[in-house]
Amino acid sequence: MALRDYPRRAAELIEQRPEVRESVTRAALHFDRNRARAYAEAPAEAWRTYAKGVKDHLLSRLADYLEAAEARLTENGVRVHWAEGPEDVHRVLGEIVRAHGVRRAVKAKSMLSEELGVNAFLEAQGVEVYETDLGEFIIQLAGEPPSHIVGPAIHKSLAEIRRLFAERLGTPPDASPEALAAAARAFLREKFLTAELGISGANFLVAETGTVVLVENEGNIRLSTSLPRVHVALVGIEKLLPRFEDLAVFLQLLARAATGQPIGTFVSLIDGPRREGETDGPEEVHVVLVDNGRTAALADLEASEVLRCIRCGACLNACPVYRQTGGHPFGFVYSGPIGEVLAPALLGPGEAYPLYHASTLCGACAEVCPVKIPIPKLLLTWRHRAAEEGLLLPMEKAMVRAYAEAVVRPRAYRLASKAMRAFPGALESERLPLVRAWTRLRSGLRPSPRPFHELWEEIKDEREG
Amino acid sequence: MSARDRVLYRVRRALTGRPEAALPAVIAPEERDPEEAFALFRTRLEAAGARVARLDSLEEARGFLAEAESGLQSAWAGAGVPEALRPRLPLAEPERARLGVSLALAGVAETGSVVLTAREGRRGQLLVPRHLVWLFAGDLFGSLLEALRRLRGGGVSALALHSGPSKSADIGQIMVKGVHGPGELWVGVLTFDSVGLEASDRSVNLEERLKGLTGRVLTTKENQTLTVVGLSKPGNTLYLALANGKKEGLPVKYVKKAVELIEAGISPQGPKELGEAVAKALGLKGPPKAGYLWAILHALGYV
Amino acid sequence: MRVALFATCLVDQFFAQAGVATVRLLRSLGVEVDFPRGQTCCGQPAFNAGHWDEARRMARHTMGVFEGYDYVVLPSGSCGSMLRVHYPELFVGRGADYRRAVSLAERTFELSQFLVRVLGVEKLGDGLTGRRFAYHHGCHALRELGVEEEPELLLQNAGAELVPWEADRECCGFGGVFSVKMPVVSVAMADRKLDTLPRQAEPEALVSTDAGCLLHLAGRMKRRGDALPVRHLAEVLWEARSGAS
Repeated sequence: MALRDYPRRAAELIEQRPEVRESVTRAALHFDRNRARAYAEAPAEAWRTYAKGVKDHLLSRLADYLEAAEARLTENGVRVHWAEGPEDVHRVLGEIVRAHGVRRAVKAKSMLSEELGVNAFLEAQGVEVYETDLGEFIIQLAGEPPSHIVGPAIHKSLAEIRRLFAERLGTPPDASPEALAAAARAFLREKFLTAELGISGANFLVAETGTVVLVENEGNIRLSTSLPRVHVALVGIEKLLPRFEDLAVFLQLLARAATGQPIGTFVSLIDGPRREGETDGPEEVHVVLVDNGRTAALADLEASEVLRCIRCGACLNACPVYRQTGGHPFGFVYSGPIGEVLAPALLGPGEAYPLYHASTLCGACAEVCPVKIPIPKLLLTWRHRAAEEGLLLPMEKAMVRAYAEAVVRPRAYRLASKAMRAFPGALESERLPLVRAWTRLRSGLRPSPRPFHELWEEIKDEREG
Repeated sequence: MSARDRVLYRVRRALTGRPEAALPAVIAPEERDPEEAFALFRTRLEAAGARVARLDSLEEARGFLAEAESGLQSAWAGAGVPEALRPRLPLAEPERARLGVSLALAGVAETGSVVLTAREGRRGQLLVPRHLVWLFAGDLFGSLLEALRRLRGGGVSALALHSGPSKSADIGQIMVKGVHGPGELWVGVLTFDSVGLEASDRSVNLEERLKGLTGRVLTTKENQTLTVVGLSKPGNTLYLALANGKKEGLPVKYVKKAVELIEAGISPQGPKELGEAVAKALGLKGPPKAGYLWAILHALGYV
Repeated sequence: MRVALFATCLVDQFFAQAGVATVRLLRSLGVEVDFPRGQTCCGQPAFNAGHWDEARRMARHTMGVFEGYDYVVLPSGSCGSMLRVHYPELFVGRGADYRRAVSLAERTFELSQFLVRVLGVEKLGDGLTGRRFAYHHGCHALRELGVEEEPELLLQNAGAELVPWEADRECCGFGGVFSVKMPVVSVAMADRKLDTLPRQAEPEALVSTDAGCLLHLAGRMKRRGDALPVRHLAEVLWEARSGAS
């Protein structure tokens, strides 16, 4: 799916499937209101400043922390792998699948695994892959990608999920949400108990202790990382935290930003495979440290601010552009404000065009970001770079030049002002593409009968009273 | 070049000439006395849909357990649950048990969490529909930071914080409980210690945690480095290797006593003060290897 | 106090009466207002679209026009934030231009903020007694300039009632060039604003300090067959002062 098609896909979704806009708006506003309340109850501002500082420090010494994490993980008995991109990850997974005769894998929600095309790869190896987060399971049944970082199925209404489950799991057409969840639970319980491989992402990886930290509400991540013989955690290299103690703020801030909870219902702190005296837990734990574009973003001083992101989804919920469509039209794993700045940082501005134009620069995202990523500023930076690289609509540069010429010459500006009034229908014409873009859904613009700079001549000598 | 070398090379190249950003100091959490901590703990857990009870006697605790057992046919219990608090129902594997009973390592008021250890068995914490967790009141921490300090290096494969029943709003934003993990969480906070449950159990915990320090390199307050070699077989002595190659044995009873004193409320300012307190309490003549003792307690998060 | 009015191109062309109201309002408070003839457009559309060289040309022009005034007042939050926030950013590391940009930024105020924070005026008069409005907070006014209480205070202190509006702080979807680059999304955002407007409270008009938002919302309302008028804040504030309506 080319990112270039965002405007067309967004328009089609809004015009042809209004129920998506309704579901997404309701869910995102619900998340956002909970976030606002949860921030107000906590020292959110101090936490955000701290969290930004910790991540900035981490990124400024990332190589040292990666090596420290690797050393601690290895001491803990975890097998550490490194991956530049999807191919390396596929190779590691392929080896594990062969070594353990894996036929079935359960997956805990991981956006990174979406980046890496893990499901398609495993299926091509003959492995059955089950998404176990309820939202992920729903969209896996529907054959869709996630629409939101935290709530992957927020674009789906209850009615739609009922139809889907009736068709695929045989539930009654009027099943309650509880009954639908119970059906999913029963279906997936058997998979948890029989899968040889559990795959997760990681919310954090503590460099000091080699602890893989995972946050969730359903328990599926704990199950995925506890029941199968082998657990593989896919970890973006920016996910590290320097100190174990940093978790105290990050766990609370993440939950408050994402859903407004004081903390995720289940937090796993994983220090390695099953130890002597333990009755269960995986025999092998693998951590794959994944680059996949992150070092390129890191090398770019301005763009590297996106690497602070902890994937809470707060900016999506706060974003009025995102709320009209959900994540699908963006065509990228990450959608909404963070997607608009992650896409160019990870893929380059050419491939990401025009996602960074899908914003009114309203600033709501920056206001809620728990790690203070200046998303509007980054959007402007990418727009500027795209303009410098000539990634533009046809004629745009010529039009901007002409506009600038008029602006720096007041006489030209005033002439244009007169011309506009000489052709009063110009701004309502259907023939000029820019005007048509305005008038297709809005009535045409009507200038004031006379511009203010002419009225000024009449009132400039007016005195009060 | 391996993928490892290439990724690390690219990270280093990306950061060439970039100044190190300062690491902020850890934010000191709000202090809470035990009463405030319990009140917040209960508020948070109840808001998340859990049941919380303060249990002042063994009878009360057994009553809570009986209530949790009523109507059910089978139960599972974690290895660390004291005999007197184990379920009376026929025991079953976690896959079939309707009730799971666990002992928490700690509780966190700030987040409304109980901390569970993999040593108890993870399936029993996850596969059962109803999960009852015992928490000794003395193990309830006001803040997440204090709990994390105490829990690090616990010597187990995994810890987990449970802060309510399993839930999801992925179906049309309607909250559903018991999606994958337990749909009910019951937390019994034990304020009594007359049956000797607490002392025996906590010494087990301390031993496990000392074992967990094996291999760790520690620094004393005087900047002497030492490596934890491990606990002697009977568990009486913790062996330490010093930088000069010498081996030292630290009696575990010193550590236990120091922990007891600190939990009873003393707050020593340095190794000397700690050593003196321990020596006095145990009736020792000389200071008990106070520098090493301090380093161990620091690693355990007590000082 | 030498105060220059920067009408901004949108007010100049589409809300000319708001310019007149601004002048009369400031004069009624004893402020001497000048309208430097060289002013045109602040260059924000070019800046937001990434054309920073052109934006700098336009910014230099505007900085020249307003040299020497104690204050520059705009009946606009968006253009105000262009001058206050983005001009300095555009000239970072560019010596004299940067200093001029910072100097202009410090002297620049959105109208309601100028009245409350600089002049210390919180009550303009009683001219709005018994009248009801819906107030739209433009995003740049709200989040970049921190204009939040000022317009509400001035309207309410003059007797106006502001109807409670769930989405009053949400973006209307205008976004300058965004409104024509992504028109369907832009209009869907406007619809969300308009659909949440409490019509049963019967506001007489939708008011904002930003002409761009008003043009977009008015254009959409008209297309939807909705007759609710839009008014620029400056005009309503002048009515608060003068009692005229």
